[in-house]
Amino acid sequence: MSLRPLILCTAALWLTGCATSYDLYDARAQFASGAPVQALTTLENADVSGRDALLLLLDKGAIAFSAGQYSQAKDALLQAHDLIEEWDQIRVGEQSATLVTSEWATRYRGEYSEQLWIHSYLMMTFLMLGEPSSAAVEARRALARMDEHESSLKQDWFTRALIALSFEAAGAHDSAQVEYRKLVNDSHYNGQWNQVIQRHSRRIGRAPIDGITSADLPTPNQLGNDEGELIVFVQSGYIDKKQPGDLPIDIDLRIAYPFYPVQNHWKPSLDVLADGKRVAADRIDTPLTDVSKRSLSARGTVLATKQIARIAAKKALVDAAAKEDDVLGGVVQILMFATEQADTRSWETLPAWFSLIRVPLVEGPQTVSLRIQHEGVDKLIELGNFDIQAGQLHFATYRTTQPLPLRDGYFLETLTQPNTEPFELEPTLETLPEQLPET
Amino acid sequence: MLKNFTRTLARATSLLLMSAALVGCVATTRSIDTSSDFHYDASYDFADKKAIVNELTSSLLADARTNNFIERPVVISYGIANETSEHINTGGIADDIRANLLQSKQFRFLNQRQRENLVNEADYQYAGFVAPEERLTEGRQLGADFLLSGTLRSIEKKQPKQWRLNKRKLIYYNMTLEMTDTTTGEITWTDNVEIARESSQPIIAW
Repeated sequence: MSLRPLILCTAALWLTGCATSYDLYDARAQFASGAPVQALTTLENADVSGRDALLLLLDKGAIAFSAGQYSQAKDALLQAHDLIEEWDQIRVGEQSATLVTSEWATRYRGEYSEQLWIHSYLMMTFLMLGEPSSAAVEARRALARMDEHESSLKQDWFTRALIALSFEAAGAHDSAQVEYRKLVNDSHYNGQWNQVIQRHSRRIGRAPIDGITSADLPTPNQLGNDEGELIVFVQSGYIDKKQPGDLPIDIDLRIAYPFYPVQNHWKPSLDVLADGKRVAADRIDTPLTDVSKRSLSARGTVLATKQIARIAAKKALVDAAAKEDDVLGGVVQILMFATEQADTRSWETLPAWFSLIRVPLVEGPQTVSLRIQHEGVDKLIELGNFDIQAGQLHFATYRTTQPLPLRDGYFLETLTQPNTEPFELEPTLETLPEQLPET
Repeated sequence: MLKNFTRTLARATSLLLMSAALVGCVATTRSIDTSSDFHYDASYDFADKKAIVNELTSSLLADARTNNFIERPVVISYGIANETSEHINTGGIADDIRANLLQSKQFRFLNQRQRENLVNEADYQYAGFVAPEERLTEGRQLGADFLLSGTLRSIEKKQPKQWRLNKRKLIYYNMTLEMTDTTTGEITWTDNVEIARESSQPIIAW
């Protein structure tokens, strides 16, 4: 009797593994329970499968950024970008393994949306580090990524506004104007973001853009000569996790596929207060699950084609085994059925919402707070004391989260006392002088 | 006899293959001639920096020798803006250009990066810690005759998605350097260097 099918099946099971590395679960749980530093330590010492190497870097980047560890975030996310570039090849061995197992056998390269958000985080990171020219480099990379997958990514308004802001901060005002204009034309943010464009035009001494009249400009948000601007990056909640779906084809055949659940995430209510008084602000948001859903759908054809090939390969393997021995055929059939698992890996430490708030503030010292109401949280958070300088951009970040739901029973075993209370990470702030105008 | 020979041959071949595999896995280090035109891929590297610096400084020095500049003008460098899609440390280009110009003895440079430290040092000396006769004389710094600035830009094009075995990428770099007269605001000299390179990577790998 030939052992070949059996060996193949054993290898298939070994390869599948069908689980994200435990260290990633641990770190995500620690982050969700309000211990980002501990989560980072876990990730530093993590023993993660090579297939999940990108997830390790993505989680490290998001957690480090949320905890205000910008240098660490920068290193991890730049490595993540390099890894995606390096893995931009079809590996025959890897693809062959997926034919007898599932997509878990591949190296996780991230959805298109996740690849884009690497650059979103890097833009924010470089702005917080006071390196606007590096933020502009990331803006160019983000634009290239958006061009590549335009239909999936064009509705990421937050990242598009961030791209324009990065150009503006780096003094690349022409590029900033182009991106602001595209944003206003494509989105429903016209009225509000027209003011941002006008402020930018005024700051660089340009005439207002055609088609935008003074009637479009409510007076409170105009930036006067004695005003600077505070920009707050807010991350709220958690992105939905991919779920495994099952489609039975026959009594012994099924298709397993990942999908995002249909869930409504309420847009967070965000108010900025300067010295205790609510101030007018311009805001733009992206619901991350929506963009991720589009990205997953964009890969749908490729996934479906591979699924058909996998069914054919598994069926051939079962038939070959059954021809040699009925019992062996049955065993192989069970193994093939068991290895058919949906690849639900994703960047789970992402927030549910990215929000960018621009607040014109009069120059001088100001205590700025953020009132956030989101998914049961109603908090007033002090962002810090800012010495607002006329014509300058000041930056602050904030992340609010809800605890991650326990899953797979794994957290229950590892965290004896999971913290179920919402937690707030320390807000962070940075002041960035406006750069020289582009030459 | 033949059986023994075959077995020995098989063993020898296995040993040879194993040795070859092991040698292939050995980490190696070697020095590269910095003047060589050596590239791993299409992106910016040290050979490009060298080419940019040499070409632009040669051009500027040649121009200075002809007639455009006053005798040993004082220059301040305001750095080189990076407008590429790569995290390139353009400070290295600016430093090398400054070094070449200083070594030519045709230009003098102000240390813009150390200005804050110079002020701190002057404040310290005048705070009473340093004997009056030892203190630096204030108001004796040189004023810049020219500003030196530049921009590094890139355009990257990827081959459109289609049936193919290799993925090709074209990168074009353009570095512009300019001297601006601080009195008149006039750009008195400018030149640029262009580098274009194509790389190809197989789409399928083992």
